[in-house]
Amino acid sequence: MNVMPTLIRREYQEHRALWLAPLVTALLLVGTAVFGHFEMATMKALTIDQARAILGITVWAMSLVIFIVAATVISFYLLDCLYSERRDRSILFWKSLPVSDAATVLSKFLVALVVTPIGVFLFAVATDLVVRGILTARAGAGLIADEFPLWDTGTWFKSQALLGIWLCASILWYAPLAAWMLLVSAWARRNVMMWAVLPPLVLALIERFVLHTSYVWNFISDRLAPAFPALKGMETQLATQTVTISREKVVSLPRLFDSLDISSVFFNAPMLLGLVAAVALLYVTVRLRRYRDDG
Amino acid sequence: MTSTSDTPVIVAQDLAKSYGKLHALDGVSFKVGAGRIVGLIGPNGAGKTTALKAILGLTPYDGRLSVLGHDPTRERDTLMHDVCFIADVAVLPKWLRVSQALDYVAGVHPRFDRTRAEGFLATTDIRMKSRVRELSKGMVTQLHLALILAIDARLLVLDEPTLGLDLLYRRQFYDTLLNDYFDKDRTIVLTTHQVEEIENLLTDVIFIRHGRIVLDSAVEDLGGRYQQLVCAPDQVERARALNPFYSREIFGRVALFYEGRPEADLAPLGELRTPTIADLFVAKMQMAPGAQGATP
Repeated sequence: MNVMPTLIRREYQEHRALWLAPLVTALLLVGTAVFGHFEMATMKALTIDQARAILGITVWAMSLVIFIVAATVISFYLLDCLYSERRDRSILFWKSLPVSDAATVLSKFLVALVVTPIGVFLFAVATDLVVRGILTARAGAGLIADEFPLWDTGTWFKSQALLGIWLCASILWYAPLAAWMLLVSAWARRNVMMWAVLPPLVLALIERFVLHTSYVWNFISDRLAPAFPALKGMETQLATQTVTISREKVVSLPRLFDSLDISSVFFNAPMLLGLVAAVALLYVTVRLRRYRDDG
Repeated sequence: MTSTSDTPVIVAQDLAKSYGKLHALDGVSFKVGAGRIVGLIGPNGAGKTTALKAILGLTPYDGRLSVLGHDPTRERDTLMHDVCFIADVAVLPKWLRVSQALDYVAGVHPRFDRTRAEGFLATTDIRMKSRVRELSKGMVTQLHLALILAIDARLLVLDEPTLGLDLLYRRQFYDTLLNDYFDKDRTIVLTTHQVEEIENLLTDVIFIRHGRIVLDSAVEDLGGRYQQLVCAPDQVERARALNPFYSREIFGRVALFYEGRPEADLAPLGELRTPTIADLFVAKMQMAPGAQGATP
């Protein structure tokens, strides 16, 4: 008897896109690394720092693609998970077993914000290694790689750590958003997507036209900005921690990591207020699932 | 209702529930004793399902309700360890595999006997790898029954468990329920439209109409309380004078239903018998609202 693991496993059985979509994306990226066309000639002219920075940012961008796909799938999952069980009435089966509504809602929240992101992170790290290996092999032979290896363990760990911190910050930052989607999923009779999007949008529009201010809009767009949580700790560093390649500046991930102020990423008022809001929204969601009677 | 046990499994007092202006339950009181099989019988919209939902803590209600000593609203999580229910056919999600269903129930229910469920499934055509969407309606019900029967619960609630199934599956369902599941420590409450099929199964019946109870009796007591008199046309006047609560014509003869009439009054007028539950149900549902008879 392991209630929470059982509940979590159930979610992946029902919503297979949660692991299939990131997996397929990772495979596509590996395919791109194998068959894609790269300008090898220009790489010969690079210093080792420049080459590492380019490789680092390229592979990091690939990880981001996996995360964006995962975030999209997770959003759809959150909107669907408490709605579909009411639509097909299977909620009556789930509720015939001794699993509390709090445990059910929590399991879905954990799947969306803890288990899936950690899984996807490990996925991304594995993809990163494979893609790095492939690119190094393709760019390597006879190039700079002989004297200065492209691979550098310390650099790699710092890039992954930066990704990990960014991921943790995002999880906490988006927690209230996830809880809001769960709430709508537990509440809406139909058109879950519309009910998730429209009320905040209408509120922002009303504010704009009646009060001529845009606090609601700013609040929403801040919360939705993908880089926002991590930027809190690195706004100023982004401009300075770069490697210059001809006239372009490429952000150096290890340097960014070294100068990152971790405490300001996590301990800031919007972040903490968001978490409080998430707890409140989850509480309402549990109550909705407990007492909602669709007849 | 008579009870074999001192503490009733369900006690409902003035149970009421409204959906807007509609009174789904209008002050219902009843008791269900341990080890009984109770049929909650009524037409569509009579309030059966609402009553079951209240018992299962699925819907808020007015009045007082105790199930296995628990308040179903406040203590639902505790209650569900001892209560099981099949709310309807076809509530098993379509994506679920049979093996996944077993894994799930085994993972969350401390009193689930997996071997027992697998043993029951082995007697059917259901394969472990199948998804629910691939099973026929009858097989889905068999699967659901296999899961529920393998749970050692004290109260089993069934809401129209055989709706939409063909006769073979329906018969098999109730046979399994009675032979493999029911014992004196367990209580079953069920609703159904097909009264005839469960007549011999029930120990108690509760008829419900427009949110009110119109009959609540042990099956063994029905014979002493209700009489059905079939008489020839020439006796009808005298028979009607004895105040039947319902009558109908069958092939030129008239069947009249009485409550609490001494046999000696009726026997001379025609053929006297104990009405079947189905006949009694029709009589009670179709009688004029004012003609309550001698309801105790």
